[in-house]
Amino acid sequence: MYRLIFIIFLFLSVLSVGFPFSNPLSDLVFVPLRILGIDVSMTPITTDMSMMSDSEDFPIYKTNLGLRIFLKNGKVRDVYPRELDLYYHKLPIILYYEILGYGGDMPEGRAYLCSSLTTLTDDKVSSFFLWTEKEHARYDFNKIQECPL
Amino acid sequence: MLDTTLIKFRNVLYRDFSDNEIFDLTRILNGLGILIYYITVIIPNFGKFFLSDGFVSPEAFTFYPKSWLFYFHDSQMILVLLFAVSFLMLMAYTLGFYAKWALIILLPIHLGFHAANPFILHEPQQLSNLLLILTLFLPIENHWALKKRRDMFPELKIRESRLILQSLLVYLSLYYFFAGIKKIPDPFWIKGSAVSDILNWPYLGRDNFLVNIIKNPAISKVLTYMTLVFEMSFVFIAFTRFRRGLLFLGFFFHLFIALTMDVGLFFWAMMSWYPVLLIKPRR
Repeated sequence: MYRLIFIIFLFLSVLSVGFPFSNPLSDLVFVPLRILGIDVSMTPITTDMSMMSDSEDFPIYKTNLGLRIFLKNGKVRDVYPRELDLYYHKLPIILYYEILGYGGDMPEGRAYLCSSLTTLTDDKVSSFFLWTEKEHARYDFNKIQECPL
Repeated sequence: MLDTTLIKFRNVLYRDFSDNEIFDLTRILNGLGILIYYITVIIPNFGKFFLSDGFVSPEAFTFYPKSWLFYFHDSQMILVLLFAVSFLMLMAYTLGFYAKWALIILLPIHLGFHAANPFILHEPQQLSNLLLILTLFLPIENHWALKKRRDMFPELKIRESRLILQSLLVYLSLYYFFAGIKKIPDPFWIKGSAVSDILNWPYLGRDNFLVNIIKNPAISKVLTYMTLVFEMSFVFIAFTRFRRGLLFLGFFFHLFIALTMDVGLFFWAMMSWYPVLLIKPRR
């Protein structure tokens, strides 16, 4: 019976973090769950993402967006989303901007992205930005992200 | 001959599965999904994801717990060796060769690599990891295993194993239900254009003939509402005698998503939960 209790507790923990209905429990289990590889607040590619269903402004999937890369040799490269690989580019980009959207910064994330984007170019990346047709109050789209030296 | 084949297929499908068979099947499908992830994503890009530039430094992790593998950051050989051990243990787990011991060795290494690079993570890995941890406490090598063994924990009574399976089913059902209910406030789901809107978004929608067909407004409307109905009715059907119908619906639902959207290994992650739909119906 202890196994059943543990399993139910695990499920409740996951549900409480993913769909907060009991903040004390979710605060308590959030980090342990992450250590167990269950990142409930991870950026899933579903419409559950705040970026996808943000009712304050507009959901991002209703706007055109693109990626502009500035290279160290002075050239500029416009990258279309269909050129991007899911694990190399899309996931890091989405995670990076989700963190920016929550008011955080992640210079290491920027460095990682700059390294990943190099696979699309013939030179090192000096900066990039994700452009959107419409401005979004929360996410730092259309703002140049500088790569570390 | 076709009749005979169909009857055999029907008999296999509608036969009663024991709880131990369901646990074993969960192990096999989960292991298979993670193996496919290792082979198609991790191994071809191992250097990029975990060595040199890919190994995100500890300072980055204000948002995530640091991986214990950081202590071996300077030694690429050790990282490669640890991954090789992880891969072998995963094979043993999937095939059922001392599966429980393989899982005990696999878990810390697998979770170490999971935490080592948060930039390649999305939903499927979380679902797989949850199942990995659950199967640690379940009898997973009693039936369909290369080496059938008694579980190291005390044997589950029938009532206990049934309750555990039911709780897995509750979790899966709630997962779908919340995924559906969270879409309701979104006007694009209510007016029926969400599927074509999402597929039109080049970050998610693939570029193939199926997507082009679905972008038709009428087809998109039907699929949008069908998605909402499937997700929100799952919990109500899962505890009836029609539960096995969800196997088919869910299989095609997730297959369809995989064919039209770039969502990684989400299909395999969900399928590894579906054996719980084979719970013996009450008579």
